[in-house]
Amino acid sequence: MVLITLVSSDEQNFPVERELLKQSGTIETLIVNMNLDDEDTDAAAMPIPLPNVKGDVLEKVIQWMEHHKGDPVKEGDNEDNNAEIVVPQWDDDFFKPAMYGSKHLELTVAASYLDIKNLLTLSCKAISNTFKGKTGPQIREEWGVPNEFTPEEEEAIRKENEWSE
Amino acid sequence: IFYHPFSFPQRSVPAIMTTPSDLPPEILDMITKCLPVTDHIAFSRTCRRMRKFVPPCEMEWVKLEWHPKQNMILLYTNIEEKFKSEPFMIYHEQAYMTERKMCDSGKVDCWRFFKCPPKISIWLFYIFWFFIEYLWIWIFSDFLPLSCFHFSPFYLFSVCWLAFVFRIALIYWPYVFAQSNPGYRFFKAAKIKHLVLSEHFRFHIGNLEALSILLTGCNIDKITFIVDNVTDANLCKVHEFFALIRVKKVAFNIPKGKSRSELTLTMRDEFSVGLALAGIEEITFSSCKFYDSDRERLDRGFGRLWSAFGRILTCDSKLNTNEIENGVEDKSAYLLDLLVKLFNAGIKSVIVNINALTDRTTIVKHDLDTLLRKTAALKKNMSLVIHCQDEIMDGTDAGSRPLPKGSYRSDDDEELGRTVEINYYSDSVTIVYLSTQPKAEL
Repeated sequence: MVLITLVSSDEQNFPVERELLKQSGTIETLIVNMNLDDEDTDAAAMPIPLPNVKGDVLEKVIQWMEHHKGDPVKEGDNEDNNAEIVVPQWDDDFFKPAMYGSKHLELTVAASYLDIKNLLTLSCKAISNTFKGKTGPQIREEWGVPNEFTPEEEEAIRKENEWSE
Repeated sequence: IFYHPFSFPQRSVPAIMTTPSDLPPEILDMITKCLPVTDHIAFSRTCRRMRKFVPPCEMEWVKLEWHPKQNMILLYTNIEEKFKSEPFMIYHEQAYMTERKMCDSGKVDCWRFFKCPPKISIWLFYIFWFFIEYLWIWIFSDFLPLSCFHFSPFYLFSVCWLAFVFRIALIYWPYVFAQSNPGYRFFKAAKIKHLVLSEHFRFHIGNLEALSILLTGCNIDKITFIVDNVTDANLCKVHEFFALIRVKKVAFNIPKGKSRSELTLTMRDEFSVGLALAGIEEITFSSCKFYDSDRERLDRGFGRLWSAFGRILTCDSKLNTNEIENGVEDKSAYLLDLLVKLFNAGIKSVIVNINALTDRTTIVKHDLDTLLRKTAALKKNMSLVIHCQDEIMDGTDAGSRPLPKGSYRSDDDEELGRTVEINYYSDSVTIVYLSTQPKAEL
């Protein structure tokens, strides 16, 4: 079993199975281009730095990849990323503890950065599910977004979308 | 840390992300794609960045259904809800909305109208008539012997007068109501791709008035409707209606009947000129198998009186029966004359299903040559597509042969600086005038 070490931005090392990393488009491209999966070369021993991903986030990403090991990897753009996608129960439970916090957002950004399409799609869907059936102030309250609008602006926005109420 | 020779690009994301508005645009885009329109709007109302990122939504009318039996109209929109606007007042092919309902903008791909089944209005009429009759008898039975009353001219006059008044109320009450609400209109600036009026929706004044008010401010690309004698009688109103709704394409669906008297309206000069003045650019003639059996029964039986009243009240001009009987005798000349008239009036494109306008199913090359000669003198750009069921023959005699399929050009008309290309394939003939001199006035 070939292990490749990922290094997070806070310099934590994560040895990961080569097979798991096929889910990440970014890392897979790097491995193929740099011949990192060739055990006979020195390159295989090189750790891969991920300066945009923190250790705790990378740990979550690896956890997700381990669970989804062997799942078909999406090719091309995420054209099917729409309202019809349903978040499976395991993934829902996986996202829940970090929901409404920076962890989930960072996980989503990491998925985008590492080009893990399935994780990105499900993570975006999970975020969008938190907005469903809620008003602007309710979303603000749940996500802790400060209200930047003046009462005049609020009124203007309300009038603009009057038809939908 | 050991840095790999291949360095990853750094991304400009905030060091600490606390809210969804901190996410990069490409991720925000993915999130908003998952949202239905209402949640999309709510999301845009959370903060300034979101408001900037998520553009204002436009409600899109996906489908509109009119259910006369339920006295209801249903709008299916992109916000996955149904707006129920009720009640509608429906009387004999007419409907009017009683409550003011307006939206700033909208798009309708297809809007179908269905009239109230005539049986209901007929039965209403029957019930009302008999109710009035017996009320009348009950009131006057003390003064006149019943047998005398039934045959008196006074009685007949009274019944006819009541029927007349009832007919007026039936037709004009919704219109009068509409006039009392002049600000009413259904759409403010809707874009309707194709307005299809079902075969039951007749183009008489009442319907036109109601439709005109409903569709004020709408921009309709194409309208399809059945042509009948009522359309003929209200031709000028139809033109006004087309101009009002700013429609560019009109499809005339001509029912296949015995008399085909509807065709006479197409031969009037005001038909083609009026269409061009109304801004129509493309006309389609097609036929339909629909035949209004209810209307036929009405005209045959009791409804003759009804139709007579209706005709008096709904027609701007009386039908010229001589014109109907003699108007479309020479079928060959008729089609050619009609096409020439339309192009001459300024219509740019005509699509003809040949069996909609003539009883013939084929075209003879001689007819095409005549048409080309006549239209060449118009000096106008035009496009004509003729759909025919059978092959184009090179003559009318027994030894005539079908023309080879494909594309060929007619004789050049050098004086006019153009050629005519005829594309003849399996079931249609396309005639397009091509300019050989780019700056030539076509």
